[in-house]
Amino acid sequence: MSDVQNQISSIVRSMAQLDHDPDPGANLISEAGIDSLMALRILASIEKSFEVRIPDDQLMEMTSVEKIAHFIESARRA
Amino acid sequence: MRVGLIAMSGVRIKSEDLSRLGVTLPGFVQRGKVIAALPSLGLLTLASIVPPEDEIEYIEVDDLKTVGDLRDDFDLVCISSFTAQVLEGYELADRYRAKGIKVALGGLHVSQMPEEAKAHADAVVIGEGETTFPRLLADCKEGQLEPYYIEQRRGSFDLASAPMPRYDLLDPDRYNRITIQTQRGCPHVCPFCASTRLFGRGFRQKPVELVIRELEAVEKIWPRPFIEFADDNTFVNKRYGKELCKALIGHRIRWFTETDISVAEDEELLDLMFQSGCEQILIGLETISDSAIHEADLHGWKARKLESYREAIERIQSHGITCNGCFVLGFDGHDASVFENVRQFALETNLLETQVTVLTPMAGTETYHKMRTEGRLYRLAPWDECTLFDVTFRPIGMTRRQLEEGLMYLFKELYNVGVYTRRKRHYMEITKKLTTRRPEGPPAGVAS
Repeated sequence: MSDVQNQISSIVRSMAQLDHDPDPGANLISEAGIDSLMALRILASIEKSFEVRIPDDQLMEMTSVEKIAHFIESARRA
Repeated sequence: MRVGLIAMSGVRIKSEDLSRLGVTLPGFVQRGKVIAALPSLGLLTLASIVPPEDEIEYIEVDDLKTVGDLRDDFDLVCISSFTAQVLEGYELADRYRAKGIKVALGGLHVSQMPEEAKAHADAVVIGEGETTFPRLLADCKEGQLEPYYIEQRRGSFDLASAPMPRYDLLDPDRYNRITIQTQRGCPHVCPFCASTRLFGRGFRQKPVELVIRELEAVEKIWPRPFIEFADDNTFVNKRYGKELCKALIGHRIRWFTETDISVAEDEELLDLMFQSGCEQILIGLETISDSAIHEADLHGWKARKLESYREAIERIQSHGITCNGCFVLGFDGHDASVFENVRQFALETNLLETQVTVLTPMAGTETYHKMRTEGRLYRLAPWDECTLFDVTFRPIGMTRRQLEEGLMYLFKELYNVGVYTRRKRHYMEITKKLTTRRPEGPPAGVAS
């Protein structure tokens, strides 16, 4: 797992009070059991931590640690 | 004795156009799924009254057409239903009775229409069941069911005596939101409200320690539950509300409830609500039209609050608590301009969720009696159309078609992906600015 994935997993785990890190590929809502409002708070926290802004039209695509990490890594490279 | 407790569940819409549209709109689908997935707290509570030597099964029926063969070796089947599903409940009752199984019916609708229900049941429970269900069970065992079991004084049951709901009857994997009740009744006089017909206008609260005991029972099964308080108006009494929130803080739950706009007047309460895990409150704003607000609450309380709606929503949401604003369409004071006004208000106030419904004459309500007296009901017993989304009466300020199309318009305007995304962004930006924090710590059930 990349550093970015690790950091995101840590935020998700802490905010959603999960017993373990979520599977990076798992859908945070349908598989990790996180509800939609919590998912938004997690995304807000990630935006703040990484100083990025996920475009509104991509918010609904940020469904897993892997996808969020991919977005952040791409944003950093750009 | 083998007792089947059957809840008629799920959301119903009769209008095919609206049904087709609804399933394409994320904002509508999400809340529909939540409502459909809530267990019947009433039946779980009555289950606790069934003596331990008897066998109980809790069953939910969300579509009678697809339910298949239900277990039929019960001695007694108790069916609870809201109005929109009650005809299906009657059909199911008829099926059981045809097999020689005793049937009792209860719930909001049946309590208002006991004679109608009696045609499909051996016994009808009228009012809150806690006081009458023990006698019904005993009579059933003796083979001497009475036709009606009537709560003697409506709304008099003391919630300090409330039995612990049998959460253990639920399949833990099936439910992601669990219901707990903290109060019954509401002081507001909303003529369309069916709940106050059952619970009365007296405001009764469950002692906080009892609520917490129920929560702890839930936490034994779901360690980090999302709680939906099955209340009519949780925060009428602000002192009780603060005591409740303080007691919830150690539990690491997240929760939802229904209350009125007055929560916005108490910053300390809003802080405590957020800290204790409040994610969303559903508020019956009902209407923003000066010409109709007096129809929403006969004592004028909502009319007096109308001017404060925008500021109140802003204040509540700025505390990290999202608002689900509910609007009723089709009051006599509404004309066709109401739809655009609601759309603008919902978008301008950034309500994270909105619920738009049609005025519905639920059985026994003042709205029903008024519509019936004025000869405006399309059917005298339109129960299967009392879905909150179907038009069952002749409106005054617009045509039926305008009301139906206006509801469709608001569905499209308020529940589409673009608006839904915009609301999400607004909420994310609020959470970034929050200064109040929820206490960090291990999840409930893990803390020592």
